[in-house]
Amino acid sequence: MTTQPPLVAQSIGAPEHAPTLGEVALHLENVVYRYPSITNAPTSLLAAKIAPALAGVTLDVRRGEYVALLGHNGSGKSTLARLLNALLLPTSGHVYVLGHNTADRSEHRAIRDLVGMIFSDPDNQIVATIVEDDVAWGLAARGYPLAQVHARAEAAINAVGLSAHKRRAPNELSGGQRQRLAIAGVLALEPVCLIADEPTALLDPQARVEMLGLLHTLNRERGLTIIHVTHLLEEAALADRIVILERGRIVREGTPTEVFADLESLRSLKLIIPELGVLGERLRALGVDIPPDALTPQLFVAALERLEGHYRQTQHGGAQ
Amino acid sequence: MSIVVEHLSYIYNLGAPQEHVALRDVSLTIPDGVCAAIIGVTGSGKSTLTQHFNGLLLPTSGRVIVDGLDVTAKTTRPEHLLELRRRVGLLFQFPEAQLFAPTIADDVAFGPRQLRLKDKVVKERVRWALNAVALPTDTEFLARSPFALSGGQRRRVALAGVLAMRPLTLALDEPSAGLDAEAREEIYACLDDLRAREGVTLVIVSHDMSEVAHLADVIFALAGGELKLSGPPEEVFKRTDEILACGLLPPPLAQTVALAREHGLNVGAASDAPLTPDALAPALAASLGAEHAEYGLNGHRT
Ligand SMILES: Nc1ncnc2c1ncn2[C@@H]1O[C@H](COP(=O)(O)OP(=O)(O)OP(=O)(O)O)[C@@H](O)[C@H]1O
Ligand SMILES: Nc1ncnc2c1ncn2[C@@H]1O[C@H](COP(=O)(O)OP(=O)(O)OP(=O)(O)O)[C@@H](O)[C@H]1O
Ligand SMILES: [Mg+2]
Ligand SMILES: [Mg+2]
Repeated sequence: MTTQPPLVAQSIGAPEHAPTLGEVALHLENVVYRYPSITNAPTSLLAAKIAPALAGVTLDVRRGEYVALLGHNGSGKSTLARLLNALLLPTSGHVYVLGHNTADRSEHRAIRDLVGMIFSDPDNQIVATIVEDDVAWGLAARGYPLAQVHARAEAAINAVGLSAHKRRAPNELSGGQRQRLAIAGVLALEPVCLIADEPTALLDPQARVEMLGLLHTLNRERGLTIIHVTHLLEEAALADRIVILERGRIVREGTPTEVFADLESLRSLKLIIPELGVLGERLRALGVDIPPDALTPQLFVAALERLEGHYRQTQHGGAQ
Repeated sequence: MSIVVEHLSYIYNLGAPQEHVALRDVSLTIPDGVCAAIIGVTGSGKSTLTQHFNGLLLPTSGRVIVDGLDVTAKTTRPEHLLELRRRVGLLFQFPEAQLFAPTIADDVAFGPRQLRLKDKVVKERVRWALNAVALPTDTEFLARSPFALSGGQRRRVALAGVLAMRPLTLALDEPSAGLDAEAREEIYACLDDLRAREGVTLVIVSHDMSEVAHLADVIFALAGGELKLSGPPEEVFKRTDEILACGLLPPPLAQTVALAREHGLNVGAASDAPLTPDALAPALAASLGAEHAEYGLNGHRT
């Protein structure tokens, strides 16, 4: 049976605009995860000494929230992602998805429909030879009536902007389009939450921008809860909240403005500081007040314009 | 080792209904000791081209000559291909395709053992290569399965396996995708070192334009299987219209400078020097504050 997680529980780093967010969608309570038989060495003594992949993670994600999950290689991001849709079960602690406890196997079907997942390489997820069929496949496999399968598949294909390509073969699509197709397959199941594990890692720069735009549209317009795993601060800049893992623990949590205020500490967490972040740092050292979260060309230039206007005003004021 | 590509075309599933032209009449030269970057949107043919450099794919038509060795279908013999693979280390785009041994140690040692090196030398190479990709070398780690690792760690093990062969040409398909800052920096340092000390030739496929601008001496941009643009990064990234026509974007710094100019902001004179935060910051600060220098940058009279 399911136990309700405490709905009042709210993590410290909840975004300021919390009123627009719904109930707790994902609730992790002191989660520890240790991979079984990690070593080929004859003794299992060694295995016991290896630090767990997750070492006590407590986190609440509200419905409609966009969370960016960052951290060094091996920090536990993908492990956390897999715990959220019951692909992995916690060694200790609890994971709840809208009140369903992932430890309860009878809930797994429901949980996997509520929490969809996509990865860097969409090809592992593509099963059919026609775009439409690929999206319909998950629904058909779940025994939905044919009319509903078609309607939902169609809606999902439209939502990701692939309607012009629905009769094409997936292998004729670009990497970015195949990634959209993977998302459509997930959307067709009408999930509450989408977990995107490094969805842009293999995409070209334009496809990356488009993918980011799509994730934000799904979040803003459909209220889809998003957990976006990434190594890129510039991708995390638009999230409601950033969560940073280090060696299986949450070490930093807050809005992008809060988290980016201290780039030096992000460096020590082995995060990649984008060149615009470095440029901002250099400018601040020279007395120019560029905000630390201006990490895209658009945001950076907007900040420059504001400063320019400010300086011009100051000059007029001074000249009078 | 130089790489010469002449009128290379490659067609997947030749003659079948799913026939697909992935490369069309590509010609390019990568001189000895140079770092070349191959860029292009997904599906533009980067991996297909790169896989020709160690004979994993053979031209449908045209020629590929690596260090004087011909990779043309007609002339390729097994011993010839073996020699080619010794000279050219190829990192696959999907490292899972490259990992196979039961332990990390065996996986990285596989190449050096093929070279019939002494056990002691093989061990040294394994340690060196794992260090180069910022992975541990303790016994526990060496005994792990390469599949019991995170995505980034797997890519690093696959790269270590390629480096351990110490080939004179390295062709790396998206080596930094999914890597954290520490791994990237260690790997860049290692590649720099290999180039400086051994004159290694480097071919890097990457979607990260900042990285490309940083590392490459020369860039080749593919679109739809054709070579559309080539030249040094400073030059290529200035040709914004052509970059956009390839479906690409210039590096974020270059985009910022261009956008600032569009908005009528003075960002200093255009120069031929590569765009770096260090070079750009003083110019930007000066142009924002210079006219009002007497008021200082905080708006206070100095
Ligand atoms: N299948 C597995 N078996 C055993 N250990 C694993 C397995 N997958 C990951 N690990 C280990 O668990 C830890 C966390 O890995 P995880 O994949 O969650 O990291 P990550 O943050 O996603 O890293 P990356 O940025 O490289 O993708 C790492 O120490 C890793 O070596
Ligand atoms: N084994 C294959 N069989 C059929 N077509 C293929 C095969 N491999 C690649 N292709 C097709 O050839 C074209 C070029 O593919 P390639 O993998 O070289 O592109 P790429 O530039 O490396 O893309 P990405 O950035 O996504 O890695 C694509 O249209 C692709 O769909
Ligand atoms: Mg991962
Ligand atoms: Mg490729």
